[in-house]
Amino acid sequence: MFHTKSLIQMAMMATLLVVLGFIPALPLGFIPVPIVLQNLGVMMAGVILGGRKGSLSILLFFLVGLVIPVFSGLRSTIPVLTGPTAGYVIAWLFVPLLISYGVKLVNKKNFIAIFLIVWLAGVLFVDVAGAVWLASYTNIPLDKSLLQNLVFIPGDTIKAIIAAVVAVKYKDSFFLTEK
Amino acid sequence: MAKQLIGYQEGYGFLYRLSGASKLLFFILVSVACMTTYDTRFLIVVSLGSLVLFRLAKIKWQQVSFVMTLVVVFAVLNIIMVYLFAPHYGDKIYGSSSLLLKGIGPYDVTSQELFYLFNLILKYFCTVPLALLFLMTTNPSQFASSLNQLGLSYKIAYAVSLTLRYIPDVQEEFYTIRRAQEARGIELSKKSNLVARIKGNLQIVTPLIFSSLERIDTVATAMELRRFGKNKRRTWYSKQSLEKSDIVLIILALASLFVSLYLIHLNHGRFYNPWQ
Repeated sequence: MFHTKSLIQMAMMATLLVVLGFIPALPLGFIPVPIVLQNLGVMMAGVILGGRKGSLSILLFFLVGLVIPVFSGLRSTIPVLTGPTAGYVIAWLFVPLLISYGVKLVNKKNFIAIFLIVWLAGVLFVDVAGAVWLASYTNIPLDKSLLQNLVFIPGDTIKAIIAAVVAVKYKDSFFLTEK
Repeated sequence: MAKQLIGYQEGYGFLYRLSGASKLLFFILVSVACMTTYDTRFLIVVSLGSLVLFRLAKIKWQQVSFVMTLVVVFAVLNIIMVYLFAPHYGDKIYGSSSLLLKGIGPYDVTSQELFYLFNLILKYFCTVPLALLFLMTTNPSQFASSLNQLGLSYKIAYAVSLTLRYIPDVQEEFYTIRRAQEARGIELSKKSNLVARIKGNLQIVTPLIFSSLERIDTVATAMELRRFGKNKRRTWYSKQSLEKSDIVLIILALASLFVSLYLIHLNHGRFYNPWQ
């Protein structure tokens, strides 16, 4: 079912996700929440591995999270999936699929188009999904939850820019998505 | 170097002799049971059981104090956030409101809200000791074989093992790259402006990604040369057969899950309501 090389690609991407989660959050003065790099890894998974393998690498990350605390804040998979932030991490599973689908529709050299796709899939989709789950889980109004999630938009947008820069700058290197 | 946060410690006792597969299954099933219910009686019993097991494993406090501190900080933040955003959620759940302390605006403190927050705290006491127990009494080499024993394809189980194995390597790579870039003049602290810091982080993340991807060909070729994936099944160097005690543990885990689900039926919902 899984070719050995694809397996290594997914394992390496899952490892990157784990390590990015270990890196301390970067406080930027004017942004209310510090930037965590882990969801940058999620966008990278879509950009580098494509849809299917990218999403599978995130699933692998969840599997690893069963046995060690790999989520930001040293949390493991089951508490996260049954807690208030489950919406975000479940949305992560679909980010590579959405990015892969979107990238097929545009010119890979067009930075603005690539950025919009990464932003829509990796930032807007994730934050809205997270807000919806957070609202239902804690019983706060949906509009309030969506407003609260605005604090994440600036940091996540910076990450989307980084992912889009990598995607455009190294587009010829991503032969990985073809295999 | 990145500090070793937590890991396997050689030890003696029946918890160390149990198979990784049964411990993993136990941990997952009990975690699911505790995360789905808010029945206080169930959570208290599992919390006490977790602490007793923790004690039995003879794990020293200093071995886990750093991780415990982080968990406590996160738990406290979680409780505070729930209260700030939904100060009367407990009242809604339990259909009653007993004022304990008059607060500013909507932030009265009621017995029901405190009871709800108490349940949230109990969930941490249920799962964190079990997670630490599993981590510290199971040889990491058994993780992959445990997953395979539980029915997962050995290729995927091995991918989990690979992911675990390369975490310290990629971490090491990250610190090496960061020091090399700082030696070349990249300033990552607050001394530089926003754009420079973003660019600096990009110049660390990009080589980190490509150095990780660079391993792929080498590792894949080496594995194929050793005939990985050739057959439908494989043997495991560190696999451990299930013994009677493992079977008992699995039955206990299933029982806890069924009790949790039955209590949901009994309570007509996930909450045990002492004010009914």
